[in-house]
Amino acid sequence: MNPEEREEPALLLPSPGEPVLTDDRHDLLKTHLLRELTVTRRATPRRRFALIAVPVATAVVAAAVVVGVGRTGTPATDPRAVDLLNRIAAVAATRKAVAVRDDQYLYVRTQGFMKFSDKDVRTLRESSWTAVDGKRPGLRRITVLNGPPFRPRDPFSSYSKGTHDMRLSPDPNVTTFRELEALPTDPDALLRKIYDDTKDDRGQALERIGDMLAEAGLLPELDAALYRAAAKVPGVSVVANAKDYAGRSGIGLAFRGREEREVWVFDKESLAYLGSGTEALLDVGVADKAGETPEAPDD
Amino acid sequence: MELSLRERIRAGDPEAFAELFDAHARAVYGHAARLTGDAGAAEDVVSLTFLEAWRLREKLRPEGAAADPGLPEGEGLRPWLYGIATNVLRNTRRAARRHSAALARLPERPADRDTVPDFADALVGRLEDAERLAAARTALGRLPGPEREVFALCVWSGLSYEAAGEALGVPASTVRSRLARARQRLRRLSEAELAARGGRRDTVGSTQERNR
Repeated sequence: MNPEEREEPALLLPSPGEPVLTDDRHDLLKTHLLRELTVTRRATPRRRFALIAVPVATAVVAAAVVVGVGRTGTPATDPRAVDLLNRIAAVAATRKAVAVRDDQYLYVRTQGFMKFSDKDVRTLRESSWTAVDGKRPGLRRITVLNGPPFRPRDPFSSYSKGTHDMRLSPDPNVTTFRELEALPTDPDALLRKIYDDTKDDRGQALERIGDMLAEAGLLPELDAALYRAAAKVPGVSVVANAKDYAGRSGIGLAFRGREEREVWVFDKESLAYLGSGTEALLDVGVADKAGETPEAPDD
Repeated sequence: MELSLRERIRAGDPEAFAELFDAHARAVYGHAARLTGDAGAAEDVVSLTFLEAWRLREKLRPEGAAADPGLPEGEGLRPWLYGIATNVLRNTRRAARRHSAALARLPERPADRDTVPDFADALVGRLEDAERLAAARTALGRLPGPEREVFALCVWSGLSYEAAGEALGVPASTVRSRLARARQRLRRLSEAELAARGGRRDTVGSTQERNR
């Protein structure tokens, strides 16, 4: 196409000018894109759930109207799953509550993965320390077990093979331990709240519950309520032999998440939560300092 | 062996997408802004286009398999990206639905009134740009959809007939004839407008009426 062919028609319309994407918007959109291409291919990063605690009283009023009403195509409820969830809840309720101070850090250690492409799936161990009150920075320490070596130009050099520390700035979107404590422990009220936050989407509600299971291990009443709430969501089924992401086997509870099938895995004997098919829970506890591994409980 | 950018995109290498973004995001933005007449919406189109490119990366034809073997690979990945942008622009709502979670995580755009320009001139300049863009978009709206796309791609974004054809999934000859039709239509429209204006000028009374 020669220049005149372009110029003549261009004169037939007013000039649109040269709309410019400014450098800061360009960089911002680029950062967002690259984050979406990597992090979100896995389910939402586990601890970034935004549940804002509501006064318990309000939640209880709403609790009268519950579950399954007006939702079309409700999947069947597996009575064995309901029974298993209620047994897990009963055991969870008997665990000892842990006293936690505001100046301490919640410690969670997991083994999961980050999918960069179909051929590039990196396994990583992650330890995170989050301020109990959410007001101080935390720490995220990842060890990438398989992945390319460090290269300076690699935009994902923080996911190269080896161990990397990242400072976690206080983030209002991350639920603090104190906010978890403030959640209703009545299963109906808790579920109503979760459904409200997930626009009544069953898969998303179950994912939301799954997001809280690690930390909730330190809060027996909430833990039990989460499992009892999950028992009221249709579509959960029992998997006799399931494996968590670290390869540990146990009894599983499966459901359809927003994007893929998810499985929670529990120890067959103790019914303790081992993790999910995409992320194994290796440890959870309370530390005095970020970067410090808590001592094993002495019971 | 060093893989080409095309092969790395097909393989889903995020670094390749970073390069693709650096090379083409500004051009895609310009195209989207001119077709929507809305600078803000154009940013969403940029995000959606690259998210769609990621989703559809395996459908990018491999190295060497040119759409038309007689053509050089000169325009590279541009037609592919403009093709995706075209689909996003045709049905932005559907693309936004597909990537709603990602869009929700997009940092909010500062509203114009929240940004304090250094000089009042800068603000005036920006408003003038916005008005010019909107006026051009209104004028472009007089063309039917297919002619509008060809006009924006070839005349405003400077794609060749071949590249525009690849983007739109039609032969270059179709692009050429659509552009010719667009040109005729615009010429007829502007002649008609000139005639209408001239006609009014003759009837003095009614012009005064209109000018009030």
